Amino acid sequence: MKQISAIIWKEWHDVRWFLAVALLLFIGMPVVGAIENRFTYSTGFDFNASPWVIPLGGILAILTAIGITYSDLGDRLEDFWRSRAINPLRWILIKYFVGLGVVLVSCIVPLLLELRIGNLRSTTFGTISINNQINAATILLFTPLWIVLYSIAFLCGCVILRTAHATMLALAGMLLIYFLPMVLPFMNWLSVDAQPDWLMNSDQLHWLLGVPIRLGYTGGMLAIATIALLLSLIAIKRNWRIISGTRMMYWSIGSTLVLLFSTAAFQLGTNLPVLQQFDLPAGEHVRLIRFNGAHGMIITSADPIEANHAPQQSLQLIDLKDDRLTLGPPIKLPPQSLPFGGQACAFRDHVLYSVFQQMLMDKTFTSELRSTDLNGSLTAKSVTVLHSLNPFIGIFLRDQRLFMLTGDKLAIFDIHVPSEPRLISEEKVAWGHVSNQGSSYSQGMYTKFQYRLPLIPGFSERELLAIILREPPYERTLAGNAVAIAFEDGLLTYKLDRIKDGGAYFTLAGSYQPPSLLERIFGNSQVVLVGSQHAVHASQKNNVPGKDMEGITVFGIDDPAHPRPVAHFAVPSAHPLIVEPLPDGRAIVGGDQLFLLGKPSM
Amino acid sequence: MRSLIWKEWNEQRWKLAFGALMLSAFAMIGLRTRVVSDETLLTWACFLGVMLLPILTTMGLVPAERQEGTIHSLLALPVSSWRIFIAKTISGLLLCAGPMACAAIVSILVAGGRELSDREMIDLYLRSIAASIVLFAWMFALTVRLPTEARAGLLAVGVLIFWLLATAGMYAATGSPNRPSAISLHDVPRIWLVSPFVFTFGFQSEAVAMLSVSLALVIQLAIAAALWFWAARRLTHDDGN
Repeated sequence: MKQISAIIWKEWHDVRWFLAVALLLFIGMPVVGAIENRFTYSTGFDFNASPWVIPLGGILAILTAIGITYSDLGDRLEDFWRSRAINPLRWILIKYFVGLGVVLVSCIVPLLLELRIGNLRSTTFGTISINNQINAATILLFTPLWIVLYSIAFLCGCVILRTAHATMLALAGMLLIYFLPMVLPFMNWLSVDAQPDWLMNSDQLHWLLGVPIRLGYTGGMLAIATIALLLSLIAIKRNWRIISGTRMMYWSIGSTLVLLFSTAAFQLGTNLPVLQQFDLPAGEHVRLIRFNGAHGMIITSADPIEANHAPQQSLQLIDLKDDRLTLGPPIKLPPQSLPFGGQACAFRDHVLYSVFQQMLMDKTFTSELRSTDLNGSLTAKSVTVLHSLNPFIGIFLRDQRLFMLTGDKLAIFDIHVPSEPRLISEEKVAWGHVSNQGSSYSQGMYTKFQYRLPLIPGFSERELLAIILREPPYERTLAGNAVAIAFEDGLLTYKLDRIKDGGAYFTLAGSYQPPSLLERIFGNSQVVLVGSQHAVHASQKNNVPGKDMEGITVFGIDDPAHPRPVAHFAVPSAHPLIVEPLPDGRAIVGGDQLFLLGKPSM
Repeated sequence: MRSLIWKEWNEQRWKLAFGALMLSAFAMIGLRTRVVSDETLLTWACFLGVMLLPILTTMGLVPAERQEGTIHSLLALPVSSWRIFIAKTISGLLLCAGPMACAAIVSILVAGGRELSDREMIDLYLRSIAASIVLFAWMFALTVRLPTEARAGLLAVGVLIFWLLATAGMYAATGSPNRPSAISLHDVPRIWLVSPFVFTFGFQSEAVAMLSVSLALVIQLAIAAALWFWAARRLTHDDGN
């Protein structure tokens, strides 16, 4: 016992400087910040240690582990220790736990102080507003990470004699431990940064001392730490040494960076095959795609500056035959044949029907239906419908009827003579988002909601649901028996419980939060969702530096409880990508070019 | 001479393989996944090459020999120290240009003609190789008498930072039709001709693009040659010691 105490005392003397420096940084700096805030903003004593501890705790763990091993595992000192009547394994274990104690005290005490003062910042959980119990989970979340980083660095210190090389390898290990679980979906459960699904459902939370805990993550991290400690003990017992040199450092650091880059890039980049690609005339981009599985059209728009001529919109017919897409010649459309959104139009028998909308006064709109005959001279007939409330417009065809749905009205046109639409009825309809029930545990998302459907003769309720969810706002779409909704950086899925008596009822089924840091940084702005049978295509702007990039992520939602990304596509484009999924899983995609993309592997 | 080149090849070929593999992997993965546009990705790859290859090359040539104490044995060999220096220069040029040439071939195979033509890709890589070689000349000359790889690495980083800052200063001072000059110095574009980055960033500026590429080549070659002779004299001076 006396021997153990002596070794502990010796090890403590070796590492106490790390504790002093860490506490000075992790407590001293927040105190300075709190005093400054107090005098500047008079906001009370705002002790805020987590911005210091969370980013620097890992570095401290590595430096402490290297420091405590380096002091005794050099050639001469190691020989000295091995010649003493001390079991080397006991000596190494004491060394390990004293160093670990210093790391944990340095990191946890400032966070506990912050918690005690009552304003622990929720760095991990972003903008989620959570109470102090959940705040305390930050400590439980990061402690296993610090233990793992310390253990890996300890192993490096035990097997590599050169301090600088051991530190660099430990830092490479830190990069892998931190980032690899973020970018590889199957390792996401080990990611410290994983968005907490467990917060969504309080029934499935595991609790420790009144604080929720991620059991899989904590267990996995502690297992890695245990393995690293065992390897350290074996290395010391068998006197394993790695002769490190410049070459080994270059290859290990380089391989780590390439591994991280490739895993991140394949998460974010393209893995959908491009089956066909069509170039558009300079300055033109696709604004609209309508396709029924065999025939359809695209409408392109020319940017006057890029194309160097007056603004112009063109229509091209597209056909899919023998798995090949063919593109017809461009047909110039008359000016203003499309509304500003460019989405509200339908095509039948070589006649394009589109809606032009104008705001007359606050919350009052006119919607004007125009038809454009593409065969001969451009003849247009317009019909105006006055309505109010919101500027939503949906337009769809059935047999000899054309239906125009606005926020509060349904207008039905007879299009027996295709170029001469005739208004045959105009009536008020009530439809839309009706009610939300029960917010989720933390994020303000609803666990249930209800949609009222417009009752239109000749359409089933299911058809109507698909139609209205296809129209603006584009952040939600119907795919199979689920509705997908773009939410923050991810996706929420609601299962369709039933459609009955003009109402569609949904229950929250699952969510997807992007695990990739790159995906969160670069992707998912201006998301438009388009659903098909079992998948959702999310068109998004990739906020990468350099040329404008647009991307598509395909989510598989055949199991609505577990939506997951199954494919990606990215391409330089100055304009958003328009997606038209085909029934077999392929998709027609238009931006600055037109693509036929292959099926994602589900 | 052949033996000297063979010695350098044996010592440095792993760095060539390392640089070629890393840059090619970066270019191939980036182009395959299309995370960014091809032009942006290749600019990143070239930037990485220009930043890292001259530093890694410089550290491993003369300072590494000094650190291991082999430089004196080398200089004591019955060959002219100029020949030793030429062998090291050839090795350095290969280490700077080889990985980027490999990356260029991989880039063309993966995405040639997709967004950039083969010629545009080759042009981008050639400009970057030129910048990398001129930076190598600066770093090689200034580190030839340093005793350790670490100190050589630090000085090489310093040289790189100096030229990056100087180039940023030139960029700020060089006007363009859309961006008036920060300070109205008429001759600022000509200063670009001494920057190692004239081929990569300089000719993207309209004012600089009006200058002659041949003149820039001649000036850069003259600078590199002057630095090379200076470095050679500093190395051969060791022979006298």
